[in-house]
Amino acid sequence: MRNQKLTNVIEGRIVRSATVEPERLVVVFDDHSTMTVKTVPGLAAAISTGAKIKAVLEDAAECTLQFEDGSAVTVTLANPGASVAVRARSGAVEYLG
Amino acid sequence: MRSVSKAFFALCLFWNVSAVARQPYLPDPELTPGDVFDVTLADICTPGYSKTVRAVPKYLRDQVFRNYGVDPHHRGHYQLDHLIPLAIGGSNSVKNLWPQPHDAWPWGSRAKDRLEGRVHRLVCAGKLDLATAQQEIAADWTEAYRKHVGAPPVAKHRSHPTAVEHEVWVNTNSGKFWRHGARYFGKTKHGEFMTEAEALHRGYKPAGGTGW
Repeated sequence: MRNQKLTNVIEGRIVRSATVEPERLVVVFDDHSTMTVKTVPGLAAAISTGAKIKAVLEDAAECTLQFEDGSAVTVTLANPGASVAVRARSGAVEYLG
Repeated sequence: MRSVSKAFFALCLFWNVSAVARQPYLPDPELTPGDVFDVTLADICTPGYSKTVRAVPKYLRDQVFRNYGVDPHHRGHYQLDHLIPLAIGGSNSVKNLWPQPHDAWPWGSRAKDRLEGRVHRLVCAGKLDLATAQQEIAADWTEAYRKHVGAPPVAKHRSHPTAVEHEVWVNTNSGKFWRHGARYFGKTKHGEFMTEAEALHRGYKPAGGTGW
């Protein structure tokens, strides 16, 4: 099911860098906003630089980032409802959930 | 800093929860111990913050009702409540959600809404520490109500009709208020009770020009 609220926030943003850590994923977009996703330990996810966000889907703890080029990345959220944070360049909260 | 604050919160919560005897109008501490986002005071005191972060997917709502054994046909008797309010950093995790009965008088959802508004104002005014506010509400929100709002709400058909008749319900999102007996009195998602005089003083307007 599409997470419309999060999709509305990050749709069209281009991945500038993506860092995968043992328990979180940090994506920096071209507008210098940052998305941090707390994931279950040991999860591997690869996100290509330059990929453009199309939509975000959620199925229970599974969160999928869909890109305009047809690719997708799925991560397992550590604590659904409290694992994803998007902050603007200024640090302002754009999305928490 | 945020991690330290969160760890402190968790530790305080553990000691408080274990010491309090539960009542029906309080959530099960095993299912709903309370959970917070990594946020700052500046975040939560920004106008519109709560609306930005309010997002509980259907599967989480269903999970909460299931966990509490609420029959799907009886969900209308409850409001899915954020134990630690979004307005002071509470998260949308199942650890922070519970089905709050509407009719647990005097400790129903309206009283909790009133507490939430009060605590948010105190925190943003620098009169109450954020972590302390979160911990107090998670431990026992009725105690927090007594501490920060006052005595439990007075029953509606009760001994102080004059006070109730002059109480209005303010939709804090729209800035309009309804009078006792009006259709939306106490029923909008965001709002709080206050006297009509206070509502007018704070710039709120009667809904539809009359409040009816």
